[in-house]
Amino acid sequence: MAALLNRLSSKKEVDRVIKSTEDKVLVLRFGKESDSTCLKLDDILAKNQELVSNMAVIYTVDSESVPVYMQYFDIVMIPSTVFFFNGQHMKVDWGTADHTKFVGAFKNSQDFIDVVEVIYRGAMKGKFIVTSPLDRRNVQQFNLIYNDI
Amino acid sequence: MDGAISYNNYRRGYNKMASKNKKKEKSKTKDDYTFCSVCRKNHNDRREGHIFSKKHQTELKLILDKFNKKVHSARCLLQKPNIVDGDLEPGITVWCYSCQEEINKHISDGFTTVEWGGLLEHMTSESHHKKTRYYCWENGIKKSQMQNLIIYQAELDKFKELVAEKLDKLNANRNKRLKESAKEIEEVEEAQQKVVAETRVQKHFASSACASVSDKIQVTASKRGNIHTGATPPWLLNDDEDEEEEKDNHHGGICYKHPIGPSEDDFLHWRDQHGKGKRNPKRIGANFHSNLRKSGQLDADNPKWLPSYGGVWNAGPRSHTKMEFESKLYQSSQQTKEQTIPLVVQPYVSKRKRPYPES
Repeated sequence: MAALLNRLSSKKEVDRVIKSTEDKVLVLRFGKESDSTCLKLDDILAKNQELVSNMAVIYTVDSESVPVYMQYFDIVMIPSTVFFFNGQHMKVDWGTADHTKFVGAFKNSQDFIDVVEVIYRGAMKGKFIVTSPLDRRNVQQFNLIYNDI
Repeated sequence: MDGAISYNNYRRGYNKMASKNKKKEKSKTKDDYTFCSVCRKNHNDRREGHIFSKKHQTELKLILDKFNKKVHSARCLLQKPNIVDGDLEPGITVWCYSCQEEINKHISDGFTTVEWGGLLEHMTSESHHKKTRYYCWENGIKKSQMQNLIIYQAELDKFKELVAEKLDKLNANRNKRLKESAKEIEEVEEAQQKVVAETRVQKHFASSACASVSDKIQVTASKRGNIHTGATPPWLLNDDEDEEEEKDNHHGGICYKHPIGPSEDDFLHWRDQHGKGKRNPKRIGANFHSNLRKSGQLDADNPKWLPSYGGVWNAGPRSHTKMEFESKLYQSSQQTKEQTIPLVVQPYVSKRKRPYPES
């Protein structure tokens, strides 16, 4: 499935994509293709890429190729999906401890489309953080373990 | 009986009313009415009473505003007159409210037009001064405002001098241009005559030598001949000579020495920007791209560049996340010796659920 998605393999490419995406939601999926959850997520992303093309562009990033971003975005669980709009990071209140990224796979296509639409509308209204439209039961729950903060 | 008394009383009262009305009618003769040109209405009020009425004042303000606009644009040209070639707006007139007549807006002799000249000249005339003074008195226009509606002879004289100067300049320019174009035409004609003479000679020789005329002419035709010399038409010529010159201007397979219209990049940029006007100017990162473009960072590869990011643990502005991360990176690069920190892993407890620190 990942073959149908655009892939970024270096920090330079990620930079370029973040800088050049204009007035569209940028969906960055950090993960590994060998992971089964990641495969499921990729499947949903690839199927809906065309449907949301007016609102979003989707890229997959291999988690090992961009250690700087993995550290900067605090990505410890894969797959993690980060959203950007006009070079600005978009936060989403998923009902979990972390608002900065979506961890795990979406339950179905509609969930992903809803999320993209909510982010797009929120960003167009000037909101840095939006509330997730998803059913809390469909979002993977997790605890954040912290160290030296 | 009661009815008769009341009837008589009624009659008496009616008679009284009738006599009063008659008196009023007598006092209102035709001569007592005056026509106010501002309100376009006949009235029998006293002048002072009428001119301070609300209706008259508003009407007067409208009229003065309208006329002052025209006067202002005319007055602006007093210092630097504008002279235009040809007949500008032929037959156009301006209504002078004080003289109640139409006057020509410009002065024109059919070849050149002095803009607003008609109005300026009219405003200087003695009759206009007189009528304006009366008009202002009649309608209660202040003296300061009246001064605006009048131009003095000295001002007009200056204006006329400036116009004369400008006309001389214009004429000189026109003569110069005429001479230049005449010269060009003469040169072209001379060249044509020369070419015609040459071809005649060639034809004569060719016919005597029984050779084909067209071949000869083609041979003798100069490198860049024209239709009279029988040169190969430009669409049959090879483009070898011009290729190098035009190499830079290749555009979609067609060569243009000077491409017409905007370039493709300009057009694409315009098309991208075209629909943006309707978008919310306060959307997230509305100025992000224009700022990048201005600072030249859009295409530049800066290995240290990081996007804005609100960190997981950070409270406060997002820029802090970046600053902290960069300082950490800096520290880690400074510390060459790797310290092994014993990892103590704890589950995350939200701030609200955390127990109060003992103080």
